[in-house]
Amino acid sequence: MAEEGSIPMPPSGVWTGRNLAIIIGLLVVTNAVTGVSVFFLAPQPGVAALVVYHPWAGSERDLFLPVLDDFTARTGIEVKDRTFRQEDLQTILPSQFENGRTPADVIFMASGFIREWGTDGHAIELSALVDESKYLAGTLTPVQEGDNLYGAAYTMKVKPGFWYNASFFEEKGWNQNPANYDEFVSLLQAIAATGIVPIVSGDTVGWPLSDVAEHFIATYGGAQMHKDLTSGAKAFTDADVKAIFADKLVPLLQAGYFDDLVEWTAGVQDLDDKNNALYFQGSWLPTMSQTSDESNMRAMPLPGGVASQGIIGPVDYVFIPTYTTRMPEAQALLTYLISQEGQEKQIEQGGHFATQVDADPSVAPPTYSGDLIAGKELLPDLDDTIGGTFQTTFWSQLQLLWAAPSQLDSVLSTIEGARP
Amino acid sequence: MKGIGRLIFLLPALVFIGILIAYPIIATLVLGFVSFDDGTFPSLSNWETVLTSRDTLNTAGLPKPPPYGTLIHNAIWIAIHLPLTLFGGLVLAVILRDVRGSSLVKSSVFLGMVTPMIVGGFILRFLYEGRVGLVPQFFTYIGLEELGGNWMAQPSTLLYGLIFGSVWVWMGFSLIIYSAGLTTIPREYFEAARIDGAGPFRTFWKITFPLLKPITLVVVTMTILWELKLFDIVIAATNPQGGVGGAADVLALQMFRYMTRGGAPELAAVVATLLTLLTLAATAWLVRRLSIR
Repeated sequence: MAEEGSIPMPPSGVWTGRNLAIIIGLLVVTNAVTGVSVFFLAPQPGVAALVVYHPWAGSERDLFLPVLDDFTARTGIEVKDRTFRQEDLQTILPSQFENGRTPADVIFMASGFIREWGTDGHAIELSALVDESKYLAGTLTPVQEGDNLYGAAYTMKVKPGFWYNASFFEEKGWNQNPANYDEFVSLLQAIAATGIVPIVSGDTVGWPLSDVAEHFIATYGGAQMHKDLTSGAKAFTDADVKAIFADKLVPLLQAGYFDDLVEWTAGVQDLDDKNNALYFQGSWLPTMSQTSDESNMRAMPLPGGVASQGIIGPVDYVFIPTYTTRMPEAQALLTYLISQEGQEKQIEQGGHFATQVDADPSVAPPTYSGDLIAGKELLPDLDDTIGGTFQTTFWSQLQLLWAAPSQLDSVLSTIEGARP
Repeated sequence: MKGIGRLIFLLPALVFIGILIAYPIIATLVLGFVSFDDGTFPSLSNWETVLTSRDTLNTAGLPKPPPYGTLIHNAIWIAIHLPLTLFGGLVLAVILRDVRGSSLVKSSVFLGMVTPMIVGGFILRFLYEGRVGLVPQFFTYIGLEELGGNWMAQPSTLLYGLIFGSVWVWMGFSLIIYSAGLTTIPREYFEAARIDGAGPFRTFWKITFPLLKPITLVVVTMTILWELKLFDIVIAATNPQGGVGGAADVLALQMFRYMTRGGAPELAAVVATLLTLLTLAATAWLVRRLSIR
């Protein structure tokens, strides 16, 4: 008999049995519901699309999609593309690779990264897929380690100089063909006199600034100096290298001819809106400009300089992670991308140049003629080639130089100190 | 028998603590003393690399604007951010103690605490952006053109901008803790002080502040811990390099960069150990100092 005030309890055996029955009943019902749901609602198994990571967004991505579509039309293999900045991939990929996984089957990445991680076994060796004789001389060197090739060369861009709106210059009567550095400075003075800060300082994490610095080196120090700085045969603190910064670039920064740092795509808008007159960018800029006539956008290289100048022609490198689960399809995509057909499909969209020697350059729109690179030695991107923390230090120190040109000595020694 | 029973109950927790806490701590500590160049152990080469790096300490050319290196940047955070959040929260708590509707104000201030730090970082970026940012626009409006540019692009304004801009993010914490602490002080003390002729300022320094010492201990300790392990707000407001020339770089960001960008886990382990030692030292010193008095 229960005590007064307490809850009446059934006999313990009945209590246990009832609860067990309820639990078993619930289990049966939930499992049945789950099973039926999975049977009717789960997606039917199918062939998963290949995943390719690339760095292009917006209008640049729009120019890449026809290439992927062409591949799908030829092979029937579906491809999903994802835009990832290479700065972000440097964070994402290492942890994935260390765990034997990859988020994509084919990845566009900086050459320094591909070489480093390929050497460690995280990218497949591509000698069997790539005929080196079919690519511009030296193009594949940045992704080679000894006899092993870990990356392949897709198309390249070039970084020819400061882009400007030709009709705007004509309207203002500004000199479109300065013959030497002094005339270039005079042009900047003339632009500044109208109240316009002459040059856009496009920025993300510092890389568009690094393009400007490399252009100064390749013009006033020459192709050999650029190559020596890339290989480490020369140091940024060497007197002749420092002189280029101190005598050519820093005076322009101190005179205020470069505007405040602005997100690099917003810089294109500034050029279109005529808030600034010049913008150092690669050959892709006209495709991003919203001006009605692409041919109105022209590139002005730094004038003067040494006899054997270089032009930075960054190649878009692509590799296959060891851990892809769809190796044959990934190899098919890579083979197509670097082929004559794949590269022609890309260069006909504009902004790109072929690295494959058989690709026909005439398929490119007129704006992208070889005039941009005539007479200059093609050079790989310096910081992409060295890679690692050097690259990020190079970028952030150039940001510092733009903000505080007087810290040139410290900037150059910090950059040199970050060399691997 | 009783001991074995206790051990059985403790075992699951011990296994998890061993795997998830003890092992990573020991492994990190050991990793910092392994030289990846020649495989020697123990080696101080990683410590030498980190401590002589300009990322860690950059005093060349002083006086100059940042970067000064992560060690000094974290110290500057503590020197400026700690007193501002501590006294800001305390003063607000005292002022709002007997005000009707004060909970609304407290909730508003506390919003900074519940806002994810990464969001706080993005908000700061927009606050200081040259063309649209509220702060540069304000200074331009009042005629201080030199502060009207992009604060995030100048090393002289970047670090201090982040510190001052982050006060609202953390002040809600000290406000709420001090508000709770104030309710534990008997009202008779304040009434006695008033009868004895003490003004509000004297009452604050002689009664309120001393009696809130245990609360201050908690606020100071937690704030220093936050300032030492600062990461998300800085990376969101700047970039993985800590902004222009690393002018806002901090220890946790340096550790992240070594690990993810540099592929140097041994250097990241050194920074992690350094961070832990600094945190332990700061906490131990404060606990000891405040508990003695």
